[in-house]
Amino acid sequence: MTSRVSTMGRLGIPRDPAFLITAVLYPPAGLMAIDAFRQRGINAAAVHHARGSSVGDRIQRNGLPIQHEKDIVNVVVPPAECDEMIRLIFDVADVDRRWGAFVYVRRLDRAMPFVLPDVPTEER
Amino acid sequence: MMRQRQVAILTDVALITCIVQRGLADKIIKAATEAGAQGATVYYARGTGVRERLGVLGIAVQAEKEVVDIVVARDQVDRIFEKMYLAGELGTPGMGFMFVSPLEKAATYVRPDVLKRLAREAEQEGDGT
Repeated sequence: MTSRVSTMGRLGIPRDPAFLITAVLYPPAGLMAIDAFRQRGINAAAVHHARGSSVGDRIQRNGLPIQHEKDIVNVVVPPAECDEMIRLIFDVADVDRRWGAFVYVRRLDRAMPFVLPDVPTEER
Repeated sequence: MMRQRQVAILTDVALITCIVQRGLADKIIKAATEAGAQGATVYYARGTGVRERLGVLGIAVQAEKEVVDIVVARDQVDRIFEKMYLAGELGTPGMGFMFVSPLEKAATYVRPDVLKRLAREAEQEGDGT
């Protein structure tokens, strides 16, 4: 998450709701999306590989649609930034074309932000 | 010159997740496709659960799993869920587990002719009410 959570419970556990954005992309758009998130200041995004088919893929003789390699990107964002992140993924992966991507959003009750510790920089 | 993008947002969609033993995902996908699903994503995982509770029979259950994710329209959820359940024989202990998650929204490429048809239908419904 790009901003520190504002409300914390008694034990310091964040209670802000969040959205989990999952993007099913064609390689190498997964790593490109991770780079774009990092430039945007989001450090906690995950990518893993999968295989799958999408809308319009040809059905083979065995009844299964043709499957391709996919990159699955998961990122947790505050609700206010959800639309902006979807547009970022669209720009990176060129979603609005055939062989683009599929993006979906799930609501989370709460999420833990990934906050880097404040480590003083070394002086040379 | 920056290209203007049109983002087609789909609402009323749900995600069906099915976890089965490795090698059985294709059967599930075939059943879902025949029932009307437009796509599927499969990835590998490792899991435990009922395997430890079956005793000797547990050795017949693989710990290596395939996870199948399918996004469907809300009005198709029940039908596709049932077809996947029956194809995977999930009623048998150890064969797998599946669940449905509601989605806030989804976005993907939608063919321009389909978009125009949907817009036309929405206009007609608006004029009719």
